[in-house]
Amino acid sequence: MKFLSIKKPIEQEDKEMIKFLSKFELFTNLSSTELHHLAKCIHKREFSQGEIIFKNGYPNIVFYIIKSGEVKIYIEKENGEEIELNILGEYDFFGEFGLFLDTSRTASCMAVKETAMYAISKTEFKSFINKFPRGGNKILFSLGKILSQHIIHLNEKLKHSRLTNEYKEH
Amino acid sequence: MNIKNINIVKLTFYLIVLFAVILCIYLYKFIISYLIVSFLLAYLISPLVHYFERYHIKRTLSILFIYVIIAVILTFFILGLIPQIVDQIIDFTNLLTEMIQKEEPINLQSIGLGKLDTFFEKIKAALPFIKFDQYNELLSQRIGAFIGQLPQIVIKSISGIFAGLSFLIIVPVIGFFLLRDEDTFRKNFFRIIPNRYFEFTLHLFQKIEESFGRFFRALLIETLIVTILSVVGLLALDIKYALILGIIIGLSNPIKYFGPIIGIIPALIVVLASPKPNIYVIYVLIVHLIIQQIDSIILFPSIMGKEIKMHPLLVLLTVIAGGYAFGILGMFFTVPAVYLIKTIMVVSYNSLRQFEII
Repeated sequence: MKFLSIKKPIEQEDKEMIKFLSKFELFTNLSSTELHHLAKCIHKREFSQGEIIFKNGYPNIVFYIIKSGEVKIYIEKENGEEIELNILGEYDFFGEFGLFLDTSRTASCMAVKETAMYAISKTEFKSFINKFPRGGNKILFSLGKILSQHIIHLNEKLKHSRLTNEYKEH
Repeated sequence: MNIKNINIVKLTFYLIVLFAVILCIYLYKFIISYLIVSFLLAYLISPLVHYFERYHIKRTLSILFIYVIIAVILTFFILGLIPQIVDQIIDFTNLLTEMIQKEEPINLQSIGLGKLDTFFEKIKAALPFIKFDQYNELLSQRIGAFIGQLPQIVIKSISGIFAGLSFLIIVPVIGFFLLRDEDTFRKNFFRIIPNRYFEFTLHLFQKIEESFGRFFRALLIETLIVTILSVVGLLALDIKYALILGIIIGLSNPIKYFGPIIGIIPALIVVLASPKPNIYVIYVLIVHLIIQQIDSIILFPSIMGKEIKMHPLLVLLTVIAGGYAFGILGMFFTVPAVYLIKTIMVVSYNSLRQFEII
């Protein structure tokens, strides 16, 4: 019966959301109208501590931005052992691959603390880009930038580990 | 003790909620049909509204604009076509009742197949133990009784659709609000979904929209095009009642396998009963065949895309069951309805499995 609990009125929640999104790295360049329309297709979700957000193998259709709190990305081994991959906090986002690929989730995710997140579904995101190509362009560009940075970072790591391996062999 | 108390309080509260829900359903049951039609209207118009939104046109404005266009088309339709259709229906049923009420009902001579009649006479002579006349009488009585009811059925269903002026006013108003506040409604709906089912529900909606939505819109477009082509084809052959016969062909078209066959029968009867030479039966069949080919080669693959998977036997049984349950109109609408329900079930099952809920 959680839905009967008193929540903030939706208008106030939307204002908060727009304020947050305007500071978020993907959406900094958006105009206020674009932000307003984007906020219409973003859902606010609240998770309590230890609540599972999704599991490895579920369809990857939602992209999350953490507003507050912390989540743990992990994979479960067959013997039930958990391997922690990453801890994400405020202003981090995850599930962005789902926007581009029709794959299922490659890891599981759990809230470590009380966590509030903004969820964008793949279809709603795509229809926003179709409707507002200008805004969509800005978002995709920022996303491309961030992903490229990730790849450069990983390449550096790889290079580093290769070099150290060579050094060890000699 | 304390825990038990809480449970009793909880239980009472749930009972009160249940009671309130039942009361609401009881109160609103009269407008459920309004709500369903409004939903369908909103569902059909919503892509257009989204299209206008691209150009930063306010929703209220674009909805009103679409309403005006629909109103203009409807006015044209009501003023121009409806009287003609009603005339044709009345004429058509009169023709059928006349045929029945003749001295010798349903005579092959009367529909111009005299030679077949002599053929049957020969069979009768050859097989004296089968009492053909009795069967014939029984059959024509049954058909006569059915056709006698036809005008009432038609008038009833037409008045059913158009009688309530309130319907014509309330539905667009509900549709207007559904369209204008679409995002708010959707957001509020997802707010009450528990976290466990949030992604699942999103996924389900997406899948249903993919299969159901596209199918529903495509079906309407296809039916419309086939109807127009049939009317034009019949008009070109100068067949009487072309309008109503074309509409019958169009409406029966969505029934897979059997629709085109059922749809053409009234047209053939009219041709046989009219003073036109019987060779027109062949012409009508050729036109029908051409339209069917256009439908299955050009329209169906480009509009529908996916093939409807439904076994012919299931289609046949559904048509018959629909006819029993909801009358003639039921025969037309049950097959698409059953297909939609089937798709929703399959899609839900797959989603439930993927999210490990069942």
